[in-house]
Amino acid sequence: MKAFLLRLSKRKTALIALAFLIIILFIALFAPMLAPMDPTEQDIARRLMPPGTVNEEGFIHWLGTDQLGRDVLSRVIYGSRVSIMVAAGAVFIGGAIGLIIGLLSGYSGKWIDSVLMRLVDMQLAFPFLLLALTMVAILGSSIMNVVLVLSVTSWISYAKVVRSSVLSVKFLEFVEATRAAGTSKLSILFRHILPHVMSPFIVVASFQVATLIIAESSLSFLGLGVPVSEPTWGAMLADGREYMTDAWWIAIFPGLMLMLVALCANLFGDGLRDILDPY
Amino acid sequence: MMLKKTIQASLIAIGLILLLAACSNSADNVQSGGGDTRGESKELIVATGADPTSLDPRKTWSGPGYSINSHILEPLVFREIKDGKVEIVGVLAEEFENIDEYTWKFTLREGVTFHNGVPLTAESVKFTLESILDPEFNSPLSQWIKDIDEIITEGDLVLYIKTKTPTRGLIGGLAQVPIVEPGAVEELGEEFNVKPVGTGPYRIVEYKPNNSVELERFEKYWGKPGVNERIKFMIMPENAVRLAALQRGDVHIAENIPSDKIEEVKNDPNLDVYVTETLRVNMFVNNFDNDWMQQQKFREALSLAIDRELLVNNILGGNTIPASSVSPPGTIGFHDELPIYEYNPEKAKELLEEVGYDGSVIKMGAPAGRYAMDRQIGEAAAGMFEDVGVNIDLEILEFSSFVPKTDEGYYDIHYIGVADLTINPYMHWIGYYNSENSEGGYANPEVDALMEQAIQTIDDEVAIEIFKDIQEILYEEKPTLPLYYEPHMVGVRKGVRGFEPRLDEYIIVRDAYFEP
Repeated sequence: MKAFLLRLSKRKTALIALAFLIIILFIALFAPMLAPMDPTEQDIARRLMPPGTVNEEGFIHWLGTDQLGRDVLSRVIYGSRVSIMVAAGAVFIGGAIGLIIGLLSGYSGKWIDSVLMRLVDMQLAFPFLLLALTMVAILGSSIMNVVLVLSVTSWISYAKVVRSSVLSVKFLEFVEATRAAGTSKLSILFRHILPHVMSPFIVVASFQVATLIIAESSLSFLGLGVPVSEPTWGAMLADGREYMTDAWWIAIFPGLMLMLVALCANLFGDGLRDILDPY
Repeated sequence: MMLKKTIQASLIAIGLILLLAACSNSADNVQSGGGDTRGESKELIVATGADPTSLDPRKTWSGPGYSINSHILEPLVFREIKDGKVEIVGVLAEEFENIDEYTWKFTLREGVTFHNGVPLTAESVKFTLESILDPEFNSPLSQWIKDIDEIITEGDLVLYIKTKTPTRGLIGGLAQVPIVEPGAVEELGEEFNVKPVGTGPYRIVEYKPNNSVELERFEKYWGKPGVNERIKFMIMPENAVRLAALQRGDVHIAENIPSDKIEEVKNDPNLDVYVTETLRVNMFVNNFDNDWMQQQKFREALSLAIDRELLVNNILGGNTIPASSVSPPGTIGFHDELPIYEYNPEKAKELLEEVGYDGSVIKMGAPAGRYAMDRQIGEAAAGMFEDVGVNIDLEILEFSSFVPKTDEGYYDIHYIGVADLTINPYMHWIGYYNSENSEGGYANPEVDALMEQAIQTIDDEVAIEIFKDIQEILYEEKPTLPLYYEPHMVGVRKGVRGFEPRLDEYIIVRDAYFEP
């Protein structure tokens, strides 16, 4: 762990990216305390107000108000919750599925491997966003459904990486040795092989975060993501699109956050890969 | 391999960003479609909001389709707007009269020919009406003329229509039925959907689905000939695209300008905007399957929670008026003495307490992209309901996915706009307040009886009184919550002359031309 932090501290970009991600995580966690207003509170008489407008209670809309007079800053802050929640949930569930399938497929080989990998190929051949759209349209919109849909559509990346890592370690001497010592298959798989596939797995996961955040926004943008009452960056972008010429602040700020979070997740993933994979 | 993964991940990310961008990129397509017509007065180009699906007038069932068809085909009678009042005048029928309670006599105009040279006869009218009434043809238009019992022709130009009951609905309904040429229907078969043959001042040149409809002047037209040699309707569903096309001069007229853009259009030195009232009322439909909705006090509370003036003055930019009745001004018998539905959130909270509302979820639905600012009205109203303590679960869907869900009764309350183009408020009332058909399940025998009585009353004065009585009952009982009357906003290039916006939302440009 110490060595890891030491190596991380040498990579400035990754460090900055990580710091930013941690800040966003904090913002999401403490949104109710940080947001100056209720993100769903409407003030229709003061819609489309530019950044810095002061309302009658002397409250300043730092980032302006949207088409229903809601505070854009509060919505951007609350919007981070959905993005992070969905990304974390999907990485967790999708990662777990991918990890288990990858391990099984790589270690057992034979027909199990063939069946599972053909399954992966089948899903790879199917456009990711199209599959997600279809599933959300059928299941209906809720945060849980979006998490499920994104998990189901993203597990293949982990499975492929984990499988190839397993293949590269399963014939090494130390595995042979444990097998010769009579250790059970399960124990070999989880005690001895798993630790060796964790680093590529974590790297894939960090890249997935960026992809998933953008995917969630795409779904919300297309009106198929989380329910309309929930503020999300993607939905804000969709709302703001019509007002780009006269109320740019509705779309610009959530768009900026989206870009920064995705960029930082990618930069951090990049750094992580360099650290964990010194070859 | 890791490098490949990064590239792949970045590519996915870039791909998704591009996909997001692509959704708003469609404005670029306009340039190729609009053509360079600036400065030419012989052609007029209109941007319309939806594809007509079929130009066979017996199948057309949308505003843009009606607008296009009204240039190609003509009905027996049609609505004319005189001093803000709608009147029905003869078009292909030179005269029409009610000879007894059950019988109407129509005398057709002489010397009218269809675009294929065949003269118009009473038989063509009979054919058109009978084909619509044929259950196998399954035309939605059949509801306009369902009272017809028998059609009798007398010579080439006289036609008698007998109805099952005395009805005031027939003439208004016939205004919605353009007459087709029987020979062409037979000859063209399916092709009639894209090449309709009528008697109108323009004939079809080409219909490209989801793209455009081109018309050219019919030189042997019986009446005043069209001003333009050609008229082109461009189909542009995206609001932003229609507006951009108008601003650039690719089109001369664009319908459905969003109310947030009205100021922008007004401030543009090259553009003008028309804002007109329509025959459409926008309202919430309460679903009586929900136990709370069955209670009048609960519906009353919902109505009191909505600040209609705020919606109209802010979101709709003051371009219409808040509702005071289930029917808009302009329909026969509009009750102009009823006050605007009250806004009183305190009273709403009291009523909710009185009925013992326990905070159970009320499923609400609203469409996006169909009516002026519909999405925002839905969200704003949901916020207002929540402010008085109603637990709302809002779903906003694109119109074509929304309608089936309202039909199956999925929502406890949903937002819809209904227009009665027959000006008798009867047709749309049937769908919401008649116990046999009411969408929300509202049933009141008194209303049923009054509606039946009204539609069988030919005398306007008497019918108006009955229509008013019905409006009073519905005002009290609130099976629906009318919000406001849909405004129709049409943008035009400066230099467009002779264009009149209409109460029925039709865009009729036979007399309009562009002269920069």
